[in-house]
Amino acid sequence: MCLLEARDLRKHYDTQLAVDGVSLRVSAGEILGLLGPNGAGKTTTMLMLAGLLTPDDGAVRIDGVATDHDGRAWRRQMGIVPQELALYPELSAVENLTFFGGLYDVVGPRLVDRIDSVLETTGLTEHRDRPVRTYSGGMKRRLNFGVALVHEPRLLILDEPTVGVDPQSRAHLLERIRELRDRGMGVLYASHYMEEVQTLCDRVAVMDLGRIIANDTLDALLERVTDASGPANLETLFLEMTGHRLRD
Amino acid sequence: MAYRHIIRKDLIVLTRDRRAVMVLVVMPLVFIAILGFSTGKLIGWQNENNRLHLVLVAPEEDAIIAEIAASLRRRDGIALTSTARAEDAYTLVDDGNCVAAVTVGPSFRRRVDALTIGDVLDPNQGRLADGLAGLDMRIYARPTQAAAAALADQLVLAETVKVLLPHLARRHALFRVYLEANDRSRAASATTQPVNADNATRTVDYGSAVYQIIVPSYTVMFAFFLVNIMARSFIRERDEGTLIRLRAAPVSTVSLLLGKTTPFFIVSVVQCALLFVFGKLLFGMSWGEHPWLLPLVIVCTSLAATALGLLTSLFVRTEAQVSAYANLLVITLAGLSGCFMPRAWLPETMRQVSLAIPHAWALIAFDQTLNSAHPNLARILTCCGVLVLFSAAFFVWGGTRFRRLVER
Repeated sequence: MCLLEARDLRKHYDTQLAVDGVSLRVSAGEILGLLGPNGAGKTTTMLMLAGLLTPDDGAVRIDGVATDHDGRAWRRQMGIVPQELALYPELSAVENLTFFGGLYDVVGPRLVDRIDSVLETTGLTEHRDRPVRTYSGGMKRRLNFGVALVHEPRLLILDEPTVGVDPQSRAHLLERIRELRDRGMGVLYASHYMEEVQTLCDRVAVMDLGRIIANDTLDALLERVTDASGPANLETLFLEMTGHRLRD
Repeated sequence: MAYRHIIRKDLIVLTRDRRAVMVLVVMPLVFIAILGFSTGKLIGWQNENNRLHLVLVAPEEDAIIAEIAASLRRRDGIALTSTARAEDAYTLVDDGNCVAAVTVGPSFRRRVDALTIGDVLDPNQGRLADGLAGLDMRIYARPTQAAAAALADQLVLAETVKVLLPHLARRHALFRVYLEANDRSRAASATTQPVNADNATRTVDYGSAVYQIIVPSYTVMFAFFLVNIMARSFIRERDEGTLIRLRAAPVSTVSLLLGKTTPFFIVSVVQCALLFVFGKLLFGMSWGEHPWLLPLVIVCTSLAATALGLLTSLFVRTEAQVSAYANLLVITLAGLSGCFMPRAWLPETMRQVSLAIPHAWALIAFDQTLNSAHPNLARILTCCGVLVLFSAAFFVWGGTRFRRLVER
């Protein structure tokens, strides 16, 4: 069942074409990895998919609903984990979750249940009432992830959620994402960490210069590696496809 | 209904932000208190510094000079001290402890003796044509106190003439008969009629009048300091990434802006109300003939301040810009509109120009409400209406800009 479908997305910034005809699909129970060097158009694409940027051309459908219609309905189906921490440091974990849950009309006993569940999932139950500013970097990352789950979305969009996270918190987060996938959630996962994408994702899309240059299962992609000097891995493939030129 | 959650969240964040509480409540109170100290009108300190402080230099004991001094001391608004040494008096003036020194020269008694009733009845022609100098009296003041010195000169001359006139009149047979009859009549009425205690002790509380101007002026200025706090809140929402989450949630732009501005409106109303409550409790200010008008003016002022805050928040991008531009905007607008001095002191052109600023309408409305014996309701409602129009214009402009910004 297709939860996210983007067709032929295009976006200009002034005269520069940032995204050029991107098409993607994420199904229920699937993790799609989105890779690309800096400036490839990943962030612009994800902003359009999350409804935060209007495409110049093309269309996005979330759970069958076009995102240019009935914004409240399709937004409820989606959880977003931005690359930067998106939390209120003066508030506690419970207060952050209460606030963001409220925005999605999760209130009353259901909100209490969801907060308990998210805190348990993220391992923050013991720290539930502490102001977020007193949290370690890993705890903040876990809460940043948890906030996207409080309203039980069917589709999760994660933009480099493990940046600056210690190995324990990273392993914890990746394990939770797998569990969510196994429970039927669709996940779009953008990252620069190739090994994460290789171990986590069912399919991988590679972007460069605003276009999707590859979109397939991990095994199918690894078969394309032509460099026989070492083990076939995603990083080798990525460099073969996008080149070694430095990007800004 | 998402805006209710945003309002609740921002109120919690605001109450935990000590800097915001400092700027919005503590700072204006401190400012008003400092001005209160400087005008000598804080609890129990009433009136002393509101009076015209004079020092009288009288080298020799003289009954008429003593009478003049007593007469001056009876005047409301004058505090008179005496000294025998001119140097001491000049020091008091130079140190700013007295506005002016009144020196009495050695020829004073001789010149008084030479006066006739005609000199007093026609002061422009006779021995008093040169004012106090004609009696060998001089006023000494610092050049910066020229206006106060001129006022002191006229007051001392008036009191001197008031004291001298009966003395001069008694030298004339016709007036002496009349004055003696008058003295007998006064003595008789003093034994039969009690002095009206109220009239005898009534004084004008000049000190409270200062607060009728200071409190609303600083309330308006600090209400618009909200611009600063609001801008920081919007910037933090963007910098901390939470704006992305807010926009990704099923929340309309109107709900989002309503949610982001309402907490500041509530804070502004509370801030203004607190300042007026403190103004009454601490400084003895009056809430005017119709105190029920005050909440109306407060609400409209807060609405305009919040709307301007929203607009400003969408034009500044960093906290440094807030410090530079928002503070400049707030202080400039406060200065132009008359928050730093009574609007009546502003030149006419400035008064007209300032009507382009919401602060000015708020100040006019507060002035009418607090200081007029018969508040002009139509004028107050007009001011409130203009403030609401300013608010609507700022909100619409802010909303349009917000949509444009998020689309970028």
